[in-house]
Amino acid sequence: MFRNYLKIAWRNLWRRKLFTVINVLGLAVGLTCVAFLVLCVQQMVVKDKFHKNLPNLYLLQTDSDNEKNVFPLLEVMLKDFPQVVNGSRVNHWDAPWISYNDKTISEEISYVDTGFLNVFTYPLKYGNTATALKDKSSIVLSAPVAEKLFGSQNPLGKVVTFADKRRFIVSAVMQPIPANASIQPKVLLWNKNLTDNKDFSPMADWYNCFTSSYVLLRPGADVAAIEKQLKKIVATRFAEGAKDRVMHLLPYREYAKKYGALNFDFYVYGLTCIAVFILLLVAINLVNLNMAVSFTRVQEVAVRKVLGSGRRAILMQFFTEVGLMVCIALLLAWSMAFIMLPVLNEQLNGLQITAAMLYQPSFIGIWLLTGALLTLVAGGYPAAYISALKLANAVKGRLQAAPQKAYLRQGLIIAQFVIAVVFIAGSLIMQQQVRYMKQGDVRFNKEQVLTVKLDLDFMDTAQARSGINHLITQLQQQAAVSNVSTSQCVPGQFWENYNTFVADDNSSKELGMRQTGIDNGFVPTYGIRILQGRNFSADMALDKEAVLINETAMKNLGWISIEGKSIHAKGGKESLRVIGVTDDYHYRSLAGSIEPLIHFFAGKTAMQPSYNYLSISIKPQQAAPVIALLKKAFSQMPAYREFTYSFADEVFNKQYKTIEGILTLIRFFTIVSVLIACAGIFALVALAAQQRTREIGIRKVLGASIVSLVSLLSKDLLKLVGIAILIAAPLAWWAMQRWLQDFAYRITISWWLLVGAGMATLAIALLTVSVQAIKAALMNPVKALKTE
Amino acid sequence: MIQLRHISKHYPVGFGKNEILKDVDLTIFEGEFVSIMGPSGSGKSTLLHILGLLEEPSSGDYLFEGELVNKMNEKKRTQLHRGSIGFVFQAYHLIDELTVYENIETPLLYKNIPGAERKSRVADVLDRFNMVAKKDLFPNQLSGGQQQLVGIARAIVAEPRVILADEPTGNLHSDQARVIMQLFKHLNETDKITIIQVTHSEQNAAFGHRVIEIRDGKIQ
Repeated sequence: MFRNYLKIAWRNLWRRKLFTVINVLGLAVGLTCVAFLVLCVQQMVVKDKFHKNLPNLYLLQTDSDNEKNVFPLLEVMLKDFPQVVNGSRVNHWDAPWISYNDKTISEEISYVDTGFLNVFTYPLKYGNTATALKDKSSIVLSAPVAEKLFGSQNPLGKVVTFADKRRFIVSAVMQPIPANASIQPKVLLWNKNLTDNKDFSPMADWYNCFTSSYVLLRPGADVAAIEKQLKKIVATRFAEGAKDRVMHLLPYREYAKKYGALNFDFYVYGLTCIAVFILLLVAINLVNLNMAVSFTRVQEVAVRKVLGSGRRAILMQFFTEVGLMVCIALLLAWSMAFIMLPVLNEQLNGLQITAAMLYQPSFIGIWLLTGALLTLVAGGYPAAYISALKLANAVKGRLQAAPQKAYLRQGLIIAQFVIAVVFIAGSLIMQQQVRYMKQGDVRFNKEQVLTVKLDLDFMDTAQARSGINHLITQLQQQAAVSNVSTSQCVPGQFWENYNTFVADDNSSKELGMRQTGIDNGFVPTYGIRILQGRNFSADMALDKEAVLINETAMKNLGWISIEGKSIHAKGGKESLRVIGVTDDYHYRSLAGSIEPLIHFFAGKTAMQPSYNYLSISIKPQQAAPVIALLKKAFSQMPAYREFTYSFADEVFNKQYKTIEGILTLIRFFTIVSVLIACAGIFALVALAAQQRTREIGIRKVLGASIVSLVSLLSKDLLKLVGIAILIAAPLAWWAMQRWLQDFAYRITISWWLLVGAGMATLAIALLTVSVQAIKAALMNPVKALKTE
Repeated sequence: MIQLRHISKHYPVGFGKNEILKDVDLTIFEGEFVSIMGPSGSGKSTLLHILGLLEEPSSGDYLFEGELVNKMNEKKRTQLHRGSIGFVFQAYHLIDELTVYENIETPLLYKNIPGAERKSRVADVLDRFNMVAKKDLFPNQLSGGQQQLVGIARAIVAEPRVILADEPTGNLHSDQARVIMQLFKHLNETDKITIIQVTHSEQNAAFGHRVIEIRDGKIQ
């Protein structure tokens, strides 16, 4: 019996080739997207389950939201807390250059305690857990680091050298760590290396909070009791000013959710939402097309019933047909996903979706479930409707109340186009906002400024210092150069460095300000306007305790003039003279508002510690000789990092990379959703034309014009698209208005943009529909009438 | 075999109702060949639909082999369609996607008859109707008369007790019609199948034993 179903299903699909191709292709494209989204989500959901100790693993948390802790605490716990079996701290201090033979790479070091590999059970490729971190000279490498330095050979016992001449013996290599594990150490060294460091040891007191501490408890340990015990330690051991802290044990299972680097919920739920939307779109097509087709099959079903077919047999028949289509689409989508995987990985570097993920049982399970669900939904309604038909009418090919039954179909088409229009409007508005931010007036000169990074890790620091200072003098003498500056940051790359300052007047007003260091060349180089007072002078003696603030800072301090004003850092004693007010230039992307900013002075333009950027303002069209000069100068100063330069607008626009990535993604989904929706109405019109061949023929014979026939076929569908636009426009407006709230500088959504999105949709729909309608209308009427 | 008692059928029209059949009493015995005749709109097709369980009467009782049909559930009716009643339509109503062979096979599939027996029974019928050469053709490759032959073959392959034919020759020219009617007669005489046909033609009616005249919903 089933073979019979399959045979008939196949013949039916074959007979309506156009319908089948559109259905299957639409499904396949949609499902390919869904497959990618599922894989992305699977990759993003953090997997820490491979840690054997997960149930008893805890993070020592300070107060309710600080994942860091004081350095000495864990040692005390390990000694005095019987319920604590093991534990390890993780500190990040430096990312030195590590060499083996001619290979050199820079990696961040995780300084850990000897118990680290017992607490976190990262499986080892070489070496063993017991001896991996036994002394100061042991180094444990992650698989990718080992591969970079040693290739495929076993590096156990080999010696690596750091840039500062320290040498370590490779004692173990970890297996590759799942890409979505919460902690991904690159290189492990024993903490003793840190505590012996003169710069580090003074910080490791009972006040500074910078260590991540993880503890392994005995199974069934009483967490509340441990926290109570911790309270006592805080009271007795912690430094003054830290005694109000409260220690908590956060189960490591919940770590990723709370402190994960990724905005987990946003991405996972966002992508899942898009996947569901696309699934909805293809499901609607499937339901609609099947319903439309099923109306042509009323008679067949009736005859079957008269021949003795039960209801179940007819349902099975319908499900087989849809199921067959879904199966073909699933297979097609699976292969498309397989083929397009490299492209996707290029776009989403870091996620590392592998082909193996397409084979894994959980993915195949989701895949089959999706297929079953689609079949059930798309086959179910038409089958249920048609198998319940009144026989006497059905045999004659008549439907009861067919027009009313079309409401669902119409509703679904509207829903599809609402989604499509919202996508179109959304991507247009997003694009406008991005363009607005990129083209907005940033109130500094970003076109004619060249920036060079100075933190290249020079091999000979002293030589580099004099070399760069010499270069600066050379640059200043160039005709093409108008100004030169060295600074801590450049606009678009400002550090998250804040401090609280207090006004030295009767108000004693406090204000949190972002702080940065500049020289006397920064303001002229970037063409920043000085609103009051003056810029720093080249004379360090004159401006040693002087600062520049921006206009927002002045306003927030409640000042109208800076005449005779000064401030001091909260807790500090030194009084800082405010010598000038800069215009509110955009030191960060236009997504954020301009916050109070304070500039410190480190002296005239020269190489300074932590001054990482050299900025050169160049006269228009004269960059080439300057770049040549830079290249020559830097080639004489060997460094670990390569010399690079970029224009200030490139640096600044880097901030929009994330949002531009999202925009690309949204654009892609817009195209997919429009394609799917159009495929749907295309097939519906084709079907209507086919069903109404006779009617069209008769009308033509009676003298109907082509235009009237085209409108006859397409009018109803276009009306639905119109309704969808009316629903979608306010929806898109509302959603995008909310999205725009996150931007300090934003466009106002103009009505013509929404109208434009609507018109574009209508135009696409019209084109789709009229191709078929015109074809039907141009047909020879004699031929049409003969077919009946 | 078939007994109708006080059967009425009406459709609601606006606020009133349109009476199609009025208090029809009818008995048809096993082995009869009955023709139902009457002008258009007299209710003969409705009567046939009620006999064939395609429609339900508004009131009255219908007994099929002594069993009250109007009390039957869907499942039982399907059983009757499978086993006891065969249908022949004016417009043939073959399934376009199926070949001649498959069209004839379909009722047997629904009866869950095993494959080997199915094959032999379809082969028998094809043989009998001289259509073996055409078994792999699709309906649209056949002439009207041939299509109706397939329709009849499909109706009898499940060995029904009754064949209900709704103007079986309505779409055929007279030569083809005669062939079909002779076939009916043959089926009635040799296979003892009860035949009830609706027809406009006196000639066709002459093939049967009895004519039931219907006018304005009443048997004359």
